[in-house]
Amino acid sequence: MPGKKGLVCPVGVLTLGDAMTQFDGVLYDGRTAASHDVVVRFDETAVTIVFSDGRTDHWPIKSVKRVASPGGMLRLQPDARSLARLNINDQDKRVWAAFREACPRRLRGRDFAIAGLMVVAVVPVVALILAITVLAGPMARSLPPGIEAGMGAAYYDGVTEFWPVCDAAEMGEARAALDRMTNAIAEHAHDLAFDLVVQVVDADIPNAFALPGGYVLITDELLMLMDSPDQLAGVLAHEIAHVERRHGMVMFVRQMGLATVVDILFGGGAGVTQQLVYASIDLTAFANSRRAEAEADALAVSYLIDAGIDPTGLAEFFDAIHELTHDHDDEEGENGAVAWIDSVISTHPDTQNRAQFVRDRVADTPEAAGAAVFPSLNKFEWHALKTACPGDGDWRDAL
Amino acid sequence: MSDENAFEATSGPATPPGGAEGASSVDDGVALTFGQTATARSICGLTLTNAILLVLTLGFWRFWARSRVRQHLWARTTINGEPLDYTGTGVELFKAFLVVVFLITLPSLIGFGVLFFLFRYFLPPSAFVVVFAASYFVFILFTYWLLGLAIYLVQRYRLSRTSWRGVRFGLPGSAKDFASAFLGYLLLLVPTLGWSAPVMDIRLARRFWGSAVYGDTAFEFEAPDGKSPVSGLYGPYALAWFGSIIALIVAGSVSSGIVAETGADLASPAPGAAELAALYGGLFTFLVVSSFTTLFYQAALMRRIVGCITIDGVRFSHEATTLGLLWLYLGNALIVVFTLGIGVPFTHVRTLRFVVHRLRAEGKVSLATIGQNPDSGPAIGEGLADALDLGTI
Repeated sequence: MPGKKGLVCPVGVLTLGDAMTQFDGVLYDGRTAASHDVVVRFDETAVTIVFSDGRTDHWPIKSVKRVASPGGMLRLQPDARSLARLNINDQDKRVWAAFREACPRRLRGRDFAIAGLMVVAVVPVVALILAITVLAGPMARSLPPGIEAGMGAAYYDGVTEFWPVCDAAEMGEARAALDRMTNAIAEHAHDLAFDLVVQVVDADIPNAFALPGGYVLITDELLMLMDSPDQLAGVLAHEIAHVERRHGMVMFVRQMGLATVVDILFGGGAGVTQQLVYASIDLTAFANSRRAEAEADALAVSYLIDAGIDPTGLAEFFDAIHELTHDHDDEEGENGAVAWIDSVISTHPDTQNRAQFVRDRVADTPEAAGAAVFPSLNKFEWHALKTACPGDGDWRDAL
Repeated sequence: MSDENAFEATSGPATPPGGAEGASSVDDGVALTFGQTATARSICGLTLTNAILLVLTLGFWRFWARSRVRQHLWARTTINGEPLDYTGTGVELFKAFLVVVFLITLPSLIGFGVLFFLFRYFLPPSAFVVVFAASYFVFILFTYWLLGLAIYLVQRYRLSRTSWRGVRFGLPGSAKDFASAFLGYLLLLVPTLGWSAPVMDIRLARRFWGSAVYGDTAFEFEAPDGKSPVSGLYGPYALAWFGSIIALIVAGSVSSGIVAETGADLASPAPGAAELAALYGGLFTFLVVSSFTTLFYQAALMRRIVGCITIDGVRFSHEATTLGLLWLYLGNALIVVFTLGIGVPFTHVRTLRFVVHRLRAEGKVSLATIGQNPDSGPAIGEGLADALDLGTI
């Protein structure tokens, strides 16, 4: 096709072979919807239009633009802003040659320049997203604790609707035991902004998590899994570390900030691009989650050592989790690709690595060895805790 | 005779005022026929180019992509063999996006955030909840009003950038009035349990088509048989309304059946496969059962609305059918899903073909007497629609 549509013709071109070749056309002058039968000629300075009553009109070739057509015709407008249109039926194929000679091909500059600009504009956008990711931590940590406490209280009320708290009556002596363990660990935290509220909840899955504002929830099913109080101490220390570092709030600020920015910039339409952008945001969320978990593990070990509790309990806990979730059958043929995907979308680092990390730390720390003598709770306290709100283990059927 | 009018320096043609001289006599008393030649193949190349640029620019190219798709589609839609022209540009859409982000979206977010913290700290908890809920409710209402505004403004932009035979369309009239009416009718759906929907659809269509113009000639919206435009719609709507109830019941029983079979716990905060199956099974059943009756009403509505549109002695009609709409929506949904969104332009082609191939016009119009619309429409467009995720061609 000669002359890309939208092309503005440059000046000074080859002389037409037969300047008198003329073509039949229909003109719409942009003043009324009436059509005008005309005869059209091309030369290097203008498109000449001759009406049936002899009047002529000239469209300077410099500003003439070709317009999209349904096929079978050459369609022109006198300049970019005019609504007037000239249709020339292309049954006489010489019309294309005539037009091409008058208005030679040139790459459409403007639209692709815009595209180029935008590819460059991607850089500040990416910088903004990175900034939010990095600044979310300091921002969340500088938020007044009252705000986080309020949010946490709301979450707490919501979660405990579904997973009822094992209340004081049911806990009995276990309450004092749990509080003693909590205080023993929390004393060695560096900078706790909240008063810790540690509860056992009745749920149907084993889990432990820290909510914003200092709430730590441990499910009865998880307690059931533990063989020794030091394992519980390890998990508790890990959650207290989350509270100290305000990971929940950091995640919230980061994801909210990113979601808002991304929605403003990229919202408004369906498509692969949107999904790719959201997916990459999700992936970074997972990576940050893993980093937070690793940080909590490291802090937990230091709390435990300072408190005189053997951190090996935490490693044993990870071993137990690994045993439960690890499918022995495909251990030999573990697909490298599947393992990589799992590692990328997982919110926690690999369990075996976590256990190894703890053991390495213990091996590196002389003080840790001495702590093995005194477990974090005595036999009676541990028994009280395990029997206060026992889980039923139903979730194992789903594994 | 008038060679003194043939200047080289001007950019416009120099016809005498009125333009009737020299006009083809074919223009008096013309019947209208519609054609559409865009195909999946014709739009394929453009779709791929746009897809690549969209990815490279993280989606910023969407404004130019949209404009180019419309240029392609409009140029392949013909009335009496003469194509429509789309004169909008990506720059206009981009500017509108910037305006909305900096003048509406960001200020709203910041304002709302500030208000939230002020309320949280200076009000006692009980009052805070009430005030927050009330202001959130007001905010929702405002958003729906904005939606109505966006709908009207989007069409105003689009019509002002559409021309045929060199004469542009237009949508004058008050967008704010339309938005208020939109919100009002929307709220009316609640006390009437949805039975006011046909009235809403028709009244909003009248506001729209009663304002639309082609050149200096206005469209009008009135029923061909002299009856109220809403008449004839309550039957299909009743079918759709009861159909939805039945669909809800059937979906509920399907969902309960799945829950009974798998022991799913829908109240659990940790939903698993069983809960998802129960939910999506119910949703899917609802869609399948209700789609026939809903689309029956949609087809009747479309036929009725188009049948009420007239301009300068020409009356339009449309042959939309329930099965036709079902095929259109289902096909479009499948295309979007299986091309991961890249194939959206193909759905535009299908939709356009559906609209145009079944469109008819009766009567004759005198094209020579239709003059240009002096109002060139808004300078920029669709920013609000983009912000509110209003999806259209």
